[in-house]
Amino acid sequence: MHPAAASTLAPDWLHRTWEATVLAALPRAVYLHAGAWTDVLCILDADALRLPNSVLVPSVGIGRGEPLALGLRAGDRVKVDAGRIDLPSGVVECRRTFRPAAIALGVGLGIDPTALGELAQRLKPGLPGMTAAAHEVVAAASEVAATSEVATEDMAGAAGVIAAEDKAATAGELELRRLIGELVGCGPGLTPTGDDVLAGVLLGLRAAGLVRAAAALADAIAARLRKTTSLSAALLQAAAGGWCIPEVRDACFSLRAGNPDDSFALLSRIGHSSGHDLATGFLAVLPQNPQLGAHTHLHPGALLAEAINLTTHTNERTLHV
Amino acid sequence: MSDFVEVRSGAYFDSVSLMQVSQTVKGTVGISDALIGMGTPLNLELMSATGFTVSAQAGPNDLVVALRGEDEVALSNGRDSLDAALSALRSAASHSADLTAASPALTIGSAVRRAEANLAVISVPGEYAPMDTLDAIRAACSVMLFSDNVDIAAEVELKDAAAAADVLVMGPDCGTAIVNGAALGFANQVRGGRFGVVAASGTGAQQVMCLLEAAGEGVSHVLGTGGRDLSAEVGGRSAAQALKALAADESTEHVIVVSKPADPGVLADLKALVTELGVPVTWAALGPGLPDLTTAVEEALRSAAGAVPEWPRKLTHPAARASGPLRGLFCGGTLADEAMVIAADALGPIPSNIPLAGAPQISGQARDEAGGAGHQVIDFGADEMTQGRAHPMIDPSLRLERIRSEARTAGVLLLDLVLGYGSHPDPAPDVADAIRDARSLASETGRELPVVVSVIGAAGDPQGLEHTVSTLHAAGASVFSSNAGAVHHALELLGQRVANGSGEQSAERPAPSTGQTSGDPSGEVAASESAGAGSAGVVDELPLRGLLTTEPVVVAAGVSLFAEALAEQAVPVTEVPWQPPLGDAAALRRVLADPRRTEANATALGRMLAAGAELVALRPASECLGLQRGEFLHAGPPLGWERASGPMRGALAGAVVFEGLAESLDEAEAKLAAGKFTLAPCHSRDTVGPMAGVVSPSMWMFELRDPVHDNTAYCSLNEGLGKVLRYGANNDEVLTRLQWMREILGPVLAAAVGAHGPVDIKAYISQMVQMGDEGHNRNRSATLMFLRDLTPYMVAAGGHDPKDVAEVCRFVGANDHFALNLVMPACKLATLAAKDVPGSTLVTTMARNGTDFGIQVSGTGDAWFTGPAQVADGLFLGSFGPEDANPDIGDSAITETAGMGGFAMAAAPAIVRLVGGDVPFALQTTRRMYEITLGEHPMHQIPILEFRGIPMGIDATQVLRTGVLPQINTGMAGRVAGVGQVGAGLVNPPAECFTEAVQALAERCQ
Repeated sequence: MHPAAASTLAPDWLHRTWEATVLAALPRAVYLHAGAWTDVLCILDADALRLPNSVLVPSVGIGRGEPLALGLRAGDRVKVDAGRIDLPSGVVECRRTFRPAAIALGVGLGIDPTALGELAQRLKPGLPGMTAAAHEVVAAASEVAATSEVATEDMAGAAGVIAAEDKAATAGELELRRLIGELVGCGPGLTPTGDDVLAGVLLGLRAAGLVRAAAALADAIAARLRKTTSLSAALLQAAAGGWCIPEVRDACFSLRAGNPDDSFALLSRIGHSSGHDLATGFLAVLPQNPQLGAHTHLHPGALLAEAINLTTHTNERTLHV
Repeated sequence: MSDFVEVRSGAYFDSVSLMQVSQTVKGTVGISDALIGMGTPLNLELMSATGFTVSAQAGPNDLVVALRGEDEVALSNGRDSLDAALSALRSAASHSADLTAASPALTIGSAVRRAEANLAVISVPGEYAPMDTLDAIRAACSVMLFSDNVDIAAEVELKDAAAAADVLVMGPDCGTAIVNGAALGFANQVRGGRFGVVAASGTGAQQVMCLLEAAGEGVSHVLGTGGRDLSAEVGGRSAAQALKALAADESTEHVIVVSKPADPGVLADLKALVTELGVPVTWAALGPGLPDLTTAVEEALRSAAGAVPEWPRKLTHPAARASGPLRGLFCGGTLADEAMVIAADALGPIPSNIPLAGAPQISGQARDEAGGAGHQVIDFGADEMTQGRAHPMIDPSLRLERIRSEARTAGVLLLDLVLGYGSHPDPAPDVADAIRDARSLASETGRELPVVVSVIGAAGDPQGLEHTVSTLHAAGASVFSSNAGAVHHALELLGQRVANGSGEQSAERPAPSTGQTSGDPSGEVAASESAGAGSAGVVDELPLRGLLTTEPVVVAAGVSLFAEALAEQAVPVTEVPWQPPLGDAAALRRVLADPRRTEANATALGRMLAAGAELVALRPASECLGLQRGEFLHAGPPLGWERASGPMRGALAGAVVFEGLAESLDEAEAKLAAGKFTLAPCHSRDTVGPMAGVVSPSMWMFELRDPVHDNTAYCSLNEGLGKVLRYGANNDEVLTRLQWMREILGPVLAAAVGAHGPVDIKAYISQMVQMGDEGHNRNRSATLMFLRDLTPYMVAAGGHDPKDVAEVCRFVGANDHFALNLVMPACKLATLAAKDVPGSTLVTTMARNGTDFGIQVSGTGDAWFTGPAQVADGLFLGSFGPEDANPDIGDSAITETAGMGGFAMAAAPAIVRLVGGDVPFALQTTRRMYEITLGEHPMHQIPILEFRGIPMGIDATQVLRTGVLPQINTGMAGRVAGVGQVGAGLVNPPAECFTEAVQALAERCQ
C-alpha cells in the first residue's frame, strides 16, 4: 500500500466509487480518465514532473518500489474508491491534500525586461511561428477584455467560465477564437505545442495581473477543449486558474531574481519542448505591458483595481480521511 | 510510394518518448515521410495535406501513425521499427530505471541539498543539535527542532542565522507543527482552513486546532516556536518570522498565538509588528488572570465571523456531587497549566510538580500518603517523570498506575488524553480499564469517584476519536473536547463555580488578550488586501522561501517515529543515518559556528581547483631545494631515527651511503642513530616522496610549477619495482641504479624537458581519470603519455649517447608507476594553493612515515596532527601475509588529498583486483567521499558517474560529523627493510588526526 497526496484539482470521482480508464502507463506515472473530457488524474511517483491534476506517491521512485505502471496498459480499467486507487502494483491511498504550484497574481510585476529578453532569445518552441502567434493571442485577448462589457471579476470564476455556454460573440471575440482555433491541438505531442503556448499565455496574463484578458482567453479556449488531448485540456483548464508545475513557478521566481539561466535550466527539464512552449506564451505577455518594467513603483493594487477578491477556497476539496 | 496509416486507440506516450519513436522511424531507410502524433484536428489536417487518408474515427486521445515508404519493403521496415520502438517504450515502463545504488547522504546538509528539502526535522541529543540545525540553515532549509537541552545562547544564535537565511527554526523542544497539510511530530489530522496558529506549546496548539476543527473550521498552518521563544532573551524571533509568513499566506485569514505569558516587551514588539502586517491576531496567552485556551478560541472565532459551537462533550449521568480533593493527572504540560489557572480561582494555589507562581512544589512521584489530602495537578510529561522512559503520550503506564492508586483519595479525577500522530496508537482501552478499576475501588468504600477526561483529538486522527470517546464514556467518564470545559465541570462537581473565563473578565482587562489589531471594519479587507499584497507584491521573495506554499519535502535525523508518520501522510521524507560526531562536540561546534569558515573554505577550494601543474625542469635537490650535505628529507610527519620503521631505516641508511657519507650500511645506521645528520619531512620543503620518500642532495628532482599561484613542488624520480630504496632496500643493486639515475636519467630527462618546454601534468590527470587510472596505484596511462611527449625531445636533444637515451626510454616505459612521481607533486601544488587560509577546515596534507600518520589543515598552517599509522587491509603478493606488512608509509596520500587515488576509485574499478573489494565498492567509495569533501573538480571527470568531477577538498569537520574517514589505496611495504612490496590494500587515517586538528582550529576561533 502506498500513501499518497491528492491535489485539490483532482477530479471529483477520485473521492467516490468509480471505474477509470488508463490513458497512459508511463515509466514514472499512470494517467487515468473518467467522465468529462478534462477529468484526467495523473498518478505520479516521486521523480515525475508534478502536474497539478495529480496524486503524488512519494514512496515509489527511481530505485524504489515497483513502477506504478507495472502490469497496466492503456485502455485497462482501474477501480477508484474514496481516495483509494487499485493498481496492479499496489493500492494507492490518499492521506493528504495539497495545493499545486501556482503563479501568484501579479508575480510578473517588476521583472527586469533584460532578464526576460535574455530568456526569450534562448527559447526553442516546438513549432515555428509560435512567438508571433502568442503575441497575436495576447493582443486579441487584451482587446476583448478592454471592450467587453462583461467583466469577469472573480478569478476563481475564470475556471468556472470554461464550463460556460457560448455567448453572442463580438468581432474581437471572433478574432480571438479564430486564433485559438489555430493553436489548440496543434503539434504532435501529448501536450501539443499550441496548447502549451496558450497555457503559457494564460499564466503570463495572470502574472501580469491582467485578469480580464485571462478570463476572455479562457473563455475562448473553453469552447475548443475537445480539439485536443484530454490531458492537455485538463492542463489548460488548470492554467486558467493559475495552477502549474513547480518548475514553471520556480522559473518565474528565477526571472524575478534576475537569473534567466536558472529559468532556462528549469524550463528545459519539462518534456520535449513543453517548457519552452510555455515560456514562449508567458513571455509574450510580460514585456508588452508598458506599465511593467524595472523602474515601476506602481502599487500592485492599482493594477488590480478590477477588485479581485481571491477566494482560494472555492473549488477546493480537502480530503478528510 | 506506399502509405501506411494506423490509429492506435488510447496509446498515450509522453512527448519525449514520442520524439524518440518519430526519429527512429524517420531514420529507417526508404521512409520518405513519417507523421506520428495525437489525433487532434490540426494534426489530422496536416496529415491530409500531406496526402494521407486518415479514418474519421481518429480522436485527440488516439495516436495516429502515418508512414510513407518508397516501396512495400521500406514501408514494412518502417512499421517494424515503429513497433520495436513502441514496445521498447512499454517495456521500459515495466522495470524501474534503476541506476547504481547511490550512497546515502550522511549529514543533514548533504541530504537537504540532494532532496531539495525545505524542512529538516531534527531530534538528536541537545549538545549536537545546534550544529546539525546550523547545517540545515546553511542549506537554506527550515528546521523543526524537536531536541531539548539546547542552551539559550545557542537558540539565539540559531534563530539569528535562520533569519539571515530567511528560514524558520521551530523549537528547540518543538514537537508539534503542521506545514502545508503535513502533520509533523505530535499533531492532529485536522481539516485545512483559514486559521493559522503560532505555538510556543505543543499540546496547547493541539487543543486549539482540535477546537477549531470541532467548530467546523480548520488550520492553514501550525508553526511552532519552541517554549522559550517569547522570553526576553530570545525576543520572539521565531514568532515574528512565523507571523510575517502567515500574514503573507493566502490561505490564512486569522492567526492565533498560543503561549504561556510572554515577556511584556516582546509581546509589545510583536503586537506592533502585527499591526504593521495588518493580520488579525488572537493572543491566547495562558496564565493567571488570563482567559483559558477555549475562551481564546471562541474570541478568535467571533472576530473571524465564525460560529462558536457548543463544544462537544459526553457526560455521565447522574453526575454525583463529589467530596475530596481534585486530582489532575496530565500528559500535556500546557493542559495541566490551564487546569491550574482555572482551578486556582476557586481552590487557591494548586500543589503540582510544575506549579504556577506562588503554588507549592511537590514531586510527581509522591505517593498519596506523602502528597497529602489536598488538591494536586501532576504533569506526567515533566522531566522528572520521563527519566529513562518515553513521554506519557507514548508510554502511559506510569499514569495508569496512578489513576488506580488515586481511587482511595481523589474526590474528582481530572485527566487529559491527547490523540493524533506520534501518540500511542490506541490509548483509550487501557485508560478506560484504569478508570473502571479506580471507580469500582472507590465504590467499594461506598463513594462514587467521578472521572472527567478532556480528549484532544480530531475526527481524522489514527486512534479514532469516536472510538476513544465512547470507550472512555462506557467506563464511566465524562468526556470533553475542551480542556477548560473539563476543568470547569470538575470544579462544579466539587461544588465550586468559576466565572467562565470570557466575557466579564476580559472586559475588565485591557485589550491585550485579544488583538483585533487593524481597525475593526477594515479588519477583513485588510486581511485580504494584505493577503493580496502579499501575493501580488511578492516583492522580493515569498517569506521563508515559500515554505508555506510549497510541497513539504522533509529530511529527518534522529526521529524514526516522526519520519514514519510523515511517510504515512505521503510526505517525501529522507532519513539521515545520524550518529554522534567524533571527538569533542564543543570544539566541533565552535569551528562550525566560526563566521569565517564558509568563505574561507570556498576560497581555499577555489584555489585548489584553479591550481595548475607544469613540469618545468629537473634539477638535483642540492640546487632546487638547497639541500645541504648531511641533510635528508623523508616522507610523512617529523620523525626521529629511534621511532623509524624498518623500510624507513633501510632507505635512510642507503641514502647515506649513496651520498658517500658512510662506507657501509652499518656505519650509516650508526651515524644516523647518533644524530649526525638532519632529517626533515619532505613536506617542509614543498616536496613529496613515495613510500620512504627519502631525498638526498644529489638526487634529481622533478620540478613542477603552478603558474596560477606561482608555487613550486618537487618529487624524486621513481626507481621502479622490486628492490628499490623507497621500500628500504639498500644493496649494491639499489645503489648502482641510484647512481645511474643521477648520472643519466636525470640529465637526459632534464634536457628533454628543457627542449620541450613545460609539460602540462594537470592535463595528464584529466585524461588518466578517463582512462581507468586513479593516480596512486594505477599510473600507466600517464606514464605512457609522458613517454610519448618526451621521447622525440630526448632523441633530438643530443649531447647524450643514444644507448643512454634508449635505456632511459626503456626504463621509463617499463615502470608503470613512473608517473606517480609526477602526479604526486601536481597534487601537492593543488594543496599548496589552498594553504594558510584563516578559518578554513580544508585538509592540505595527508602523509605517513611508516610510524605516524600526519595531516595538515589550511587554517592551521604548518601544524602537524598525528596518530598511529595503520596497516592496510588488502591483497598480498606471493606468500606474504598481514604480519609481513609495515604500517602505512609514504607521501603518496597527497593524491587522495587532492581527489585522486581512493577518492577517484570509481574511475578505476580495475584496482579492486589489486587492493581488494568489488566494483560496486569502488563506485560507492567515491560516492562516499563526496560526503566529506567541499566540492568537485570540474576538469577531472569520472565517466561512469556521468562525468561528475572527482571529490576535492577534504573538510575535517565533515570527517568528524559523518564518521567517514578518507579512503586511501596504497601499496604495502614489508616490515623488514629491503623485502619490497608485499601487497596493496585499503587504509584510512586514524580519527585522532582529525579530532586534534579540529581542536586546534577551535582554539583559533575568535
